[in-house]
Amino acid sequence: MELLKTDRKTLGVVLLAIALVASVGFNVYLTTLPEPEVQEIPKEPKGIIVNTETIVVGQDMEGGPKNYDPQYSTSGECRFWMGLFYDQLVIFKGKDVMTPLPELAESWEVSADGRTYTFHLRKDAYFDSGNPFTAEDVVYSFDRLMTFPQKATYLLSMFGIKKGSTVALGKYTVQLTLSDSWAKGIVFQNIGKVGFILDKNELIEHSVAGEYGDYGDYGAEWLSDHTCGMSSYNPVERILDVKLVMELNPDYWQYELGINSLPPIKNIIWLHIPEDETLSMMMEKGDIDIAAFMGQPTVRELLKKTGFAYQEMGYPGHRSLAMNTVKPPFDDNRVRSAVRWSIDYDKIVEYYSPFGMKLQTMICQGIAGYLPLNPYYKNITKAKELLAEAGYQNGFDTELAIFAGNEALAAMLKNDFDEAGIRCSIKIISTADRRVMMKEHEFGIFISTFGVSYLDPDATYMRNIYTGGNYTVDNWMNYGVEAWGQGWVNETVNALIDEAKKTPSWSDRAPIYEEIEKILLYEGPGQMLIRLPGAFCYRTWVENFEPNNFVYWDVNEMYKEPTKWYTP
Amino acid sequence: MKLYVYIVKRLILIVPVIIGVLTITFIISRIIPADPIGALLGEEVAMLPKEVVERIMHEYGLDKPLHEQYFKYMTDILRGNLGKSIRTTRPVLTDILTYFPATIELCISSIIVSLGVGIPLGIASAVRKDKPLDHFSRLFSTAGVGMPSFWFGLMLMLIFYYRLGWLPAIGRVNIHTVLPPRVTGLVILDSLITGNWPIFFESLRHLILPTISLAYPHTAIIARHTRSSMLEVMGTDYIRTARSKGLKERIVIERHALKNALIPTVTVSSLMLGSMLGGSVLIENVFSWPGLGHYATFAVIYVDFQAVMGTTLVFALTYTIVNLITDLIYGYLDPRIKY
Repeated sequence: MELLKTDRKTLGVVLLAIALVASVGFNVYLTTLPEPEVQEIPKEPKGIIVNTETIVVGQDMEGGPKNYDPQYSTSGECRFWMGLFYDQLVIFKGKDVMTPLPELAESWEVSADGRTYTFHLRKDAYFDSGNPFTAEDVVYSFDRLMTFPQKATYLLSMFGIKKGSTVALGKYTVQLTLSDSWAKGIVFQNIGKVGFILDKNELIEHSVAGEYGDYGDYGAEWLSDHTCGMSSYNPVERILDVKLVMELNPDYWQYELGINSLPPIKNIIWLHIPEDETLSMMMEKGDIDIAAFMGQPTVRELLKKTGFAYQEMGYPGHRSLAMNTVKPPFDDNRVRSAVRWSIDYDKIVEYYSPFGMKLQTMICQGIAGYLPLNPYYKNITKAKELLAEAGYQNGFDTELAIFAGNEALAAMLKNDFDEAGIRCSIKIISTADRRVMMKEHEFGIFISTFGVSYLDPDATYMRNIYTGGNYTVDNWMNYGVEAWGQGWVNETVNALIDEAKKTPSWSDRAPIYEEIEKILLYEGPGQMLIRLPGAFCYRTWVENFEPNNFVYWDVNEMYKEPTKWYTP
Repeated sequence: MKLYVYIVKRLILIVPVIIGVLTITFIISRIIPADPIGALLGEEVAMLPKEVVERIMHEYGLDKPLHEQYFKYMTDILRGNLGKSIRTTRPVLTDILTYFPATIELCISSIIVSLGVGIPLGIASAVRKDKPLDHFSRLFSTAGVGMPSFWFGLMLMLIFYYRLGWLPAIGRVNIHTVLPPRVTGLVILDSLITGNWPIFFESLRHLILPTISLAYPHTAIIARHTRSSMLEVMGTDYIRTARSKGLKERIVIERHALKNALIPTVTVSSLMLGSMLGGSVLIENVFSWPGLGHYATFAVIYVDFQAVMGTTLVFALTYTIVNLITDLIYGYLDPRIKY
């Protein structure tokens, strides 16, 4: 038995050796063969067949709409959906955020003091229910926004608008009165952002008992699963946070009246796909036409292949540093300046290439008031001199807090800071952590990745800088997260911000913002690093795809070119 | 009769277990320094008038003292009210009924695969100890336990969806397919009930990759446990007696060894369900599977207290009921166990 086993082993080894030699020999033989003649055999086209009537969008839908109530919706994707289900008084197209265009309002006037906005409404618009559109619907919608407060409320409440601020002057004229004079650009942007018009009669009919007197629950329960406006596309299937399927509504008043022609796209499918790898694979297979918010490294890889293109989102994003000026060492501007002079900005731009743009001013490219000033570059000698002046000849230790996804940027910054003597430990935090950290002023440096609520310098400053008014710990919730957290109180800047937001015309506001930017550039609590907007990566068979700053993109203009693609 | 008494007693004992789990979850969720309203409203919370934020907090009961919040929550549960999700603005019970069936479907299919592959593989490994099949089983198990399930899922997607085009990438049905009318929420079952055979087969195809991804690590564990318990049982006196009586090896294994060898495997299987419910979070993320793990992830990120409590309740309840079923199965497998 033992002999048999030994023989079996030996046999196995011998067979393996023979197989190895044979395979090597065969490969050698193959290399000696003459090159065969290559024949051109025409291939039957294979590959992706483009469905020209359906657009499929993939993205992480964490921030997507939870219902059909526009009160809850302020993020980009929310506005896109709400823009398909509801119309507004004014809209904005393309990248132009300064010029409101008529939609339900045909024309308007603004009083000289900038407090009163009078809108003259279309007489031929109507809702999906068949109910005619009148001034009463505008009054109801705006009053609802202010009485049934949710996420979208603040964008009008900051103007002092309350229930009763919107009145009907006639069947097709409505007037909105603000509590104070405001820059027209800010007011129109926010009306364009959240002023979705609901069908008053339809919603009252479906409202249930609630705390709002005759209006019950203001239709909140109904809007969980139903729209109530003027839909260019109707939702036909929805799995919350997972999938939304929308179908073209040919009865939409703008199509019926010929104001807009029927779009070629009949269906829009929105899918929740949180993983970039999955998004990338599905894009290549042609199952997805547009990927929103895909990570830059993944987009970069796709752009190397045929049939992919990229567009920036209208809304700019940034990476910036927020420094805690409430406590040492960042309460000293010399230390903050040392941080500014220790960073290799070009390396950061190169890392994010081709997506990012160098940015050192708070107002970024694409927003009115941008100044192309980039005075800082990596100068470790200067950084060390500044630290020595501030009493930190031997440097100091601090914590660099970041959100997940910014590890590479943090590593680059840490290397730069180490050279200057600013020794950082990196800490990854969550959104909830960030709020607490900022509230308690318990941080050193934080890599901020903020967007803005509206495309006006005022939004940037309110978020990051403004500490005017009654700035105390009891009021912390009334301030922008970074503004509160950094704790930088500069009365000159606060006063300039207050003055600019109340100045109606842009030509008068622009010099004020220029003055603010110059102060912030050399004394501010933070440091901008790079402008980094979100990216739409899409298949090039999607034509006329132009992201805009308000509702993602105009689906009316978009179409898909019918073609067949070879699978690479 | 004693069995029924035992079952009733166990069901009653579930109540203090659930109360304990919910209490601990409540305390932990309130202790962590998080701001659910801030997480929900984002940066906008800074701009809202203070009274508006206070009104929203009042709507979700977050302005009350902790003990009041606790008692209200516990008494509401008795009425079947799990509260309202801060994030989705829907009743938590509605959300759970929406998402849980998808997780159940995934977990059931994974359990079937884990047991259906793991047990036979374990038995075969034990019977053919130190043979090539045993070595393969060891390799298979080591890889299964060592490999991150989400990475494995992505690799499966890369091979079977991207390279070969044999299987779909995400979801329960094709992108362009509308789900069948909801009866149970389990698409496979609903399609059978409604007689929709195309969707039945389509949903089976969609289930394959997530199931394999979730099942593989558990299959590995079950295979190893079954192997070791089989080896232990095969060395006992009564198995030697059975063989010496001249019984065929297949009869010895199936009728004498297997039942006793399966007792530790049953234990592992019930623990496996808890692990699957937790592991489903990652798999649901990779395959965009609309299950409770996906819902729970968002609930935690947004500090959605009510949703966190609701999902904890569901997972705890599922786990305790499965434990009860496991204990009952013991009684079937081992006649020495009496209730």
